[in-house]
Amino acid sequence: MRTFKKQNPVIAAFLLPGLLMYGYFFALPVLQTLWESMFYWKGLSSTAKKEFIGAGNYIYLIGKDPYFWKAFGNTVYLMVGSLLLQVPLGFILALILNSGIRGKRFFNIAFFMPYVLSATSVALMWRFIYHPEGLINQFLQLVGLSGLTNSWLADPSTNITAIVLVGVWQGAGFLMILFLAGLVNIPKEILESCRIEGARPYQVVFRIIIPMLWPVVITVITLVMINSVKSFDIIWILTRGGPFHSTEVLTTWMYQLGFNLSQPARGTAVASFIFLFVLLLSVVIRKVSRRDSVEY
Amino acid sequence: MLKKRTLNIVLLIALSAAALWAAGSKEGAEESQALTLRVLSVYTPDHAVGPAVEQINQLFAETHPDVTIEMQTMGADDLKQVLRTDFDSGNPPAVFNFWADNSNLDFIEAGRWLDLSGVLAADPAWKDNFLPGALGVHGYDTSGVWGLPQASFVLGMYYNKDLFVKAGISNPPETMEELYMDIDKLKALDGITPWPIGNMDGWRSVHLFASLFYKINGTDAATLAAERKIRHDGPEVVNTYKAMQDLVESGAFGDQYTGLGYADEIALFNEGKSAIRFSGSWTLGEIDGVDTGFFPFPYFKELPQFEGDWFAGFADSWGIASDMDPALEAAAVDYVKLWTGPEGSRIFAEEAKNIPAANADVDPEKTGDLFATVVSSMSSITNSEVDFATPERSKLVADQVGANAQAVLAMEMTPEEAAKKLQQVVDSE
Repeated sequence: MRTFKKQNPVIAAFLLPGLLMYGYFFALPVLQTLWESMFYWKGLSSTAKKEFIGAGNYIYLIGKDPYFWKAFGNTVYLMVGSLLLQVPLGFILALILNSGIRGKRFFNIAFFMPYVLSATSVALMWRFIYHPEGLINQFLQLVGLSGLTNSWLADPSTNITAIVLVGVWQGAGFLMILFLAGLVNIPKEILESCRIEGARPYQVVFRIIIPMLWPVVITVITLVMINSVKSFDIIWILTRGGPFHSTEVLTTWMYQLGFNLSQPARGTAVASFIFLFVLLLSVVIRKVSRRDSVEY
Repeated sequence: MLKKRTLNIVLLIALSAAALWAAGSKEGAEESQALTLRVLSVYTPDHAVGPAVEQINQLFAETHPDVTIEMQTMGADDLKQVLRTDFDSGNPPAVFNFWADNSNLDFIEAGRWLDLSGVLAADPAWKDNFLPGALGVHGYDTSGVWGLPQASFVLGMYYNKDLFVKAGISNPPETMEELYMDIDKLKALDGITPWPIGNMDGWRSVHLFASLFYKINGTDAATLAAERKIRHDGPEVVNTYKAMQDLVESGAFGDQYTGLGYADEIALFNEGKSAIRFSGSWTLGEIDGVDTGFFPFPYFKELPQFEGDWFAGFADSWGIASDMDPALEAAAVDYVKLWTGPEGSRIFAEEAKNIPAANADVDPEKTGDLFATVVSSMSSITNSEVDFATPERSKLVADQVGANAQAVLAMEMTPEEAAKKLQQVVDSE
């Protein structure tokens, strides 16, 4: 104990550079963003007149902004849709690849490939696929389902789901890799003994595999939720939040306010809201997911 | 021994730093000789004006060998955002394209754009060569000239002459009633969409909204709306939305128009799959391989007083950032002068088939008959306005005008709902 106390200044000296960098590059910008969101100003100049309005920008967003709640709803839809589709799909793919099928390496690369593509390439490719004369409509016409053809990105009843599917297509392979890394660590003996005891496959999955993968599952859920809330690039390239703001999410609305609509302070307020929302989500996930991990 | 090694290291670092500083100073000295003129422009290489850019930049290089032009080109929507971001972040382009819009006052009031009235006054030949009205576009009720338009334009209807003949249409329509009759005839042609409009690009529906608004209410009504002298949920706006939806219901736009963009409009017309294109005169350079005619945007028979109210004006203006190095500012002025002067305007017209905002000695052989038809049609304009939201100061209201036009055209909102929503945004500002 005495030695530890004696070493405190040394430990502090080693931590100081890291803490300073963290404080300067992360904590300070976050605090500055929160501070800036309490002013009314038009940007364009560091000397532009700023007026302190306290929570005025937040009150405007919540009570008057024409698209804030629409953007929030779409963000939640994107998050829930990604959770419901991307996580199970990544898990199922990992189970299939872990079952010893032939061509495991090929499928591993094939499923992971979309994740390494740039968001711009992915979005442009899907824009062609969703185009009224794109692959999906051509396929539907080919199989005699012309009545189902649609302007997928233009129709408000389909466009936000179409965006979710692009995210699922791109991200499921990454989740598969995370799940696979967890699966290979489960001792084969446990799974073998379950089989000998007569456990059904679904029982093995829900009673053995998922509990043993719990820390991975929580990590994956956290990643998907936070990435969904922060997603911008694919949506921006696919629809720019349109048509008529029907695919607006918090990040695109933040950008629109800040750079398109001459409302940088309100854009900053949306940015702060996103930060606080992500923080809240992280806390909730940690609380909800607190359970003993299975030791093996 | 250790002390000596430490001393050597310190000396080495000191020498290296001194060498780097010296190299940096030398580089800085060389940089002050060479000027880089960053130009943020809408004229991408595949834009109709793309080939003209090459020629004009070459001409500029001949007279300014010490200036390097750094062209940064992108579509109009991206450019508007980049321009704003560049100015916000203190890294503005020296020269940039922009469009008439009252929200430009944000830049002007912040002192970020150069007032060009002084340089214009110093060169009367250049100043007097502009078309009447061109220099007033960017005055914004101030004493300054904050930009110089490159193009003048009118919005109207381009039509495929062969398809009109096939459909049995002998003369292009003059009124909306005649247009509806012609749409019915064109719909009867196999595989032809009468008039596809790319509603996925929001500005297409905005242009349609504005054109119809002017034919129903006159161009002055747009200013009255911006000055809040007429309500945005009043009959002026509601009736315009209704007229948009009447066109949708007539089947003019086909089935897939909500998912199409401007590029699709061009492709369909050039492939002979559509009969009419509604566009600005900038499209003259985009028409390819189709025998094309032009007619003005039809007016409503019961409202003949607005026949001469057109969506027309000046566009693709050039602005210059303020507070630049004097040598760079002089180069920027020369660059804009070249573009908007007689020679630049001639190249602009002949290469891009785009109507310049200044007088130019244009070879009619190079610009073609359609160019002449469109230019001569401009004589029938009695009142003109650019976009409905041009006089609007609030960007949020202007954005809602666009969102509403798109939603109404997609039949996702009723005229009354759209007008109510627009008024709510006006009230919230």
